[in-house]
Amino acid sequence: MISPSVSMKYHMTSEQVMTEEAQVKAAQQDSKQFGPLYNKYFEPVFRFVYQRVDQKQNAADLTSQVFLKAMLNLSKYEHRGLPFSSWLFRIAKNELADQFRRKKAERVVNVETDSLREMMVEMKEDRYEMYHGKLAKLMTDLRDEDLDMIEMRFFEKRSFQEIGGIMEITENNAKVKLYRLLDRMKSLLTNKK
Amino acid sequence: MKDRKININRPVITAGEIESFKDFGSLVNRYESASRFRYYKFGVMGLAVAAVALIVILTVWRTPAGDPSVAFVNPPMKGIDIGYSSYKVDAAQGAELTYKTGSKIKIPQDAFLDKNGKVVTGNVDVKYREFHDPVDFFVSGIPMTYDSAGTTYHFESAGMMELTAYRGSEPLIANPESKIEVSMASRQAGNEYNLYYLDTVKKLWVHKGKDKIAECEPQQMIDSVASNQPIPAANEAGDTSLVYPDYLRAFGYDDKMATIGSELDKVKAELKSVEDAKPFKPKKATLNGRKFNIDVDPKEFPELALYKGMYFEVGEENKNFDAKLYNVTWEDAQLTENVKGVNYQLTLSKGKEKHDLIVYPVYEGEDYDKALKLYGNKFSEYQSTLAEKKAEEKRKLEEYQAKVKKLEEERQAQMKKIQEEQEARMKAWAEQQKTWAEQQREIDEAFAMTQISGGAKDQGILRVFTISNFGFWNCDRPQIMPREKVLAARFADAEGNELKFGYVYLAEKGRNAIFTYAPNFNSLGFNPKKENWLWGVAGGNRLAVFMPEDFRNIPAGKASHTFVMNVVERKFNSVEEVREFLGLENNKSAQVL
Repeated sequence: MISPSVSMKYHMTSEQVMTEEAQVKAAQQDSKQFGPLYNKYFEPVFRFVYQRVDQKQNAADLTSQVFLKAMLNLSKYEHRGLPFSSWLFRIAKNELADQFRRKKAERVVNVETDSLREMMVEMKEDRYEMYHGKLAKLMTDLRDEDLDMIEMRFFEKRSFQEIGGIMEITENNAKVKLYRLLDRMKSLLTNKK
Repeated sequence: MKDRKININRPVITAGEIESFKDFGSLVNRYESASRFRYYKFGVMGLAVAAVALIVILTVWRTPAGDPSVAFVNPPMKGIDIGYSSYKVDAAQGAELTYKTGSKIKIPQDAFLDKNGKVVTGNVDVKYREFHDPVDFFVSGIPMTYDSAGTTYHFESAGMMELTAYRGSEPLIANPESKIEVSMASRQAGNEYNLYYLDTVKKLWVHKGKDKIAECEPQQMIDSVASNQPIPAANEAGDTSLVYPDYLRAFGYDDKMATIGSELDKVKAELKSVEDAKPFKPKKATLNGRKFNIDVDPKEFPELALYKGMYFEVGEENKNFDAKLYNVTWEDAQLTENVKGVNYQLTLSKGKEKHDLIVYPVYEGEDYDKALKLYGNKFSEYQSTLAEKKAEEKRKLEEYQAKVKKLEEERQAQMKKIQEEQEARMKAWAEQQKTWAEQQREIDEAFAMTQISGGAKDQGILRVFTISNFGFWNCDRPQIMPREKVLAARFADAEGNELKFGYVYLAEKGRNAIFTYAPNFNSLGFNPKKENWLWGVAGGNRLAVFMPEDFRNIPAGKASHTFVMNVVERKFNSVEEVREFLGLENNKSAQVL
């Protein structure tokens, strides 16, 4: 079963960008005006969090915490060419990392077989039946940053531009990192050095 | 090994289900609680009855003269109690102290005696706290029953306080020659309240006369509170999520790896160059006579230019070779390496005609001998150089691995340091938040004092009295238990399992009191025309509650009832949480016996 894509429509029209900027400014003036942004991004942020944890209630609590931090720090947000969503996902990423580090939540890997297939295609490895189990196991052992990147690209279908915005790196750097990572993973999969 | 849990093809969560978790109202409330604010809230409901219905004491005490193994004043909930405000007083000078509610404590000179009755000089630690509503009464564990002429009454309080003084760890005694005057802020108007002191030795309340009522302007109270409230400093650590570093980027991990790797790559390239320059072993010409003499560019084929007198012999594999090819003046002849170190492909072309031949570089006679000798020397040199390069490669590889390991250790150490700094910042931020929340609560309390229950005048009330002892002092009026309806009571949870309580507490809207039922009581009385709350402590220190709507559903005309209690699983961490959970409105004292 293919999960709904959690990737926000990253490329907004100019009108949409302006509307969102106005909403942010309004919310910076009056916290109660945060509602439209909350309604717009609640589901995407929830899915981002839920992708990384086990329980729905846990995801709900963490999502609430993300939006609380967003509201508390909204005065410091500036539009710098990246969508507001990138800023939110960055807060979510950091909040998750903090919760995992303090052992208040468990980092879980949620994979779908279709996404594993896509990964193997990108790796130029067509022996899916032979390696998909090993690949899934390999994912549980990745460094946190590497796992985030794989999830954002293959499970959440985010563009490199979006990934770069969330991880605070350039789009190109995101591509290079991902493909190096896939190369390393392929070597480990096939035991070639 | 991280060994994370993995889910394969977990069921998808729908948009509708996600929607059910949305609660913007709750988020705004949390935001407002967490934010810093410097203005006073108006119209806050009194905190009087907020937490009354929840608190149940499991083991506490039965009556003021109860179980001697249990402390007389015994806070029922671990970690939850009314905190003290602490002051340092120069005993010889005296002081006027202001509490967060606006209460004043006037300490004259020489107000403290030591255990020998001697006047104390120097600095003294004074601690003070107040209790104003049933929540406060419960969490403090102060007994609220009063026996008079064989009848047990329950106190309805207009405010209670505790004042103690210490020099180091030595408790001090109040000097009867220089009495401390307390002007305690009260939410209850009226002069029907008496003054009582709690004798913890005899374990009973002692009547001490009447207090005096003084009125003060609410703004006075607010100002006096405000002057004690430090304005919270700007929280630099609050923005923890936005300063949370990208470890790899900050550390420059990729660049450092590239630098380390480049030295190894260089040696590997050099080794390859050496391998590529392996000397070509000269071959002796056969007698087949099929040879070409071709000028070879030494830059392109250095291995062929090594020896003199070379020919290219057509190999036996060229089955269709025709000697007529020798007679053709070819427009172009291309030579490319075929099998490395063995043969080449010669392509002869003229117009559309083209022939590919596999050819072998060969030598004849003396040229062959010389070439062979030269080859021997060159090959030895080659082997020596190759061995050196391989050894160098091995060294570089070991260096590389060591550097990678060191880099990784540095990265981990850096990450750990940053994580620790992050944790410290977040901890400080959490502490600050806690402080601001507490400060705001104090401000809210102070303002709530201005909302006089039952009084027509919108003024603050101060109850003024002098104290003859340190300890608990109470402005109360004794009340009898409500008996409008009396039932033989049994308690059970939602599953029908019987609940056993130590004490059971009843609160009635409109009274600033709690009615305590001692263990093994027979019947429970309440006024069905009022809103009532009932609670106890079940096993595991959990609250069990019976709310006003539950009372309304008790059938009429019955002599007994099983009270089905809602056992609350949540753990409470503060008085405020208990108060908030109950959500009871300010109980106004309107009834007079």
